[in-house]
Amino acid sequence: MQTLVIVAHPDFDNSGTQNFLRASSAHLSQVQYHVLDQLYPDYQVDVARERQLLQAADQIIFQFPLYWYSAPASLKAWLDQVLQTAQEERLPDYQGKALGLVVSTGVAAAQFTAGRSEQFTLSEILRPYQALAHKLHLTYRAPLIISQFSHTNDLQKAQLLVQYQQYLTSFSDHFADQVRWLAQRLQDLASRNPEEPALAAVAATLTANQDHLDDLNQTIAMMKGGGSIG
Amino acid sequence: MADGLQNLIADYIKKAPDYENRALMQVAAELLKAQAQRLEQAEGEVDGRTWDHRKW
Repeated sequence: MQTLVIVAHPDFDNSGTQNFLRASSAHLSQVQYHVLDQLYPDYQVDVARERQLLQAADQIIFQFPLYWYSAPASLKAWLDQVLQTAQEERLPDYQGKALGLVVSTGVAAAQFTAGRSEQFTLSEILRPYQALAHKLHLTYRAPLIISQFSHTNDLQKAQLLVQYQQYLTSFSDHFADQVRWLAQRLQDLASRNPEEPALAAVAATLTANQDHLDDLNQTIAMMKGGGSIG
Repeated sequence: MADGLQNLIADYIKKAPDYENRALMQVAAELLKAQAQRLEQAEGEVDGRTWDHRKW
């Protein structure tokens, strides 16, 4: 799966969140980073080139900090120019591709709800992107939200690294798929580092536990009368 | 989680030079805990459903 990460950030190089995300995805071969503010500081987009990149991608990610409940200007300029030119009557066909969002917020995620400081949920605030995906026949994925990155501890950063890598390389957010994805990563590392017994041992245990769990869930589904367990 | 596996994980996290590999292992340790909890719940549910009072 080819993933194109389109980043909108006016000061990308000095952003702690963006640096962390870029480093987290640096070893993923099928992920291409595309920082709009660096490529097009004057917002004059090379439409033909961008269209080529979009056509080559299976998944398109818009990655940006939330500025006044929207993306920075570079993403809006890109959308205005790339999606439909003045000469075109019809939109390009993006059927079969997915659109994901990676959005960082300076406010705690818990505040984005009715009755709290931000009043509205992030699903509501990000609705224009959902509408865009709908219009372009893109499959809209649940956004990956990163709130107050500078306040996260060591374990939360590790979890974000894995979550981000999974978001860029897999469409599923089911627990079982996350486990199998991680077991595979550890198994790959184990084959390159046979002197580290922990890697293969943990990969094998994760897989065996998940097989057992899947069996139990299937048994429960049968006992319930054929329904499936999420 | 078995003590042996826990020790292997702790050793690996302590000495792994690469941040990314260390992070993968930290998350794996958390997933093992989550699996243990889910296994306990699922086993409990199978037991509960097997214990059918209508068959007493």
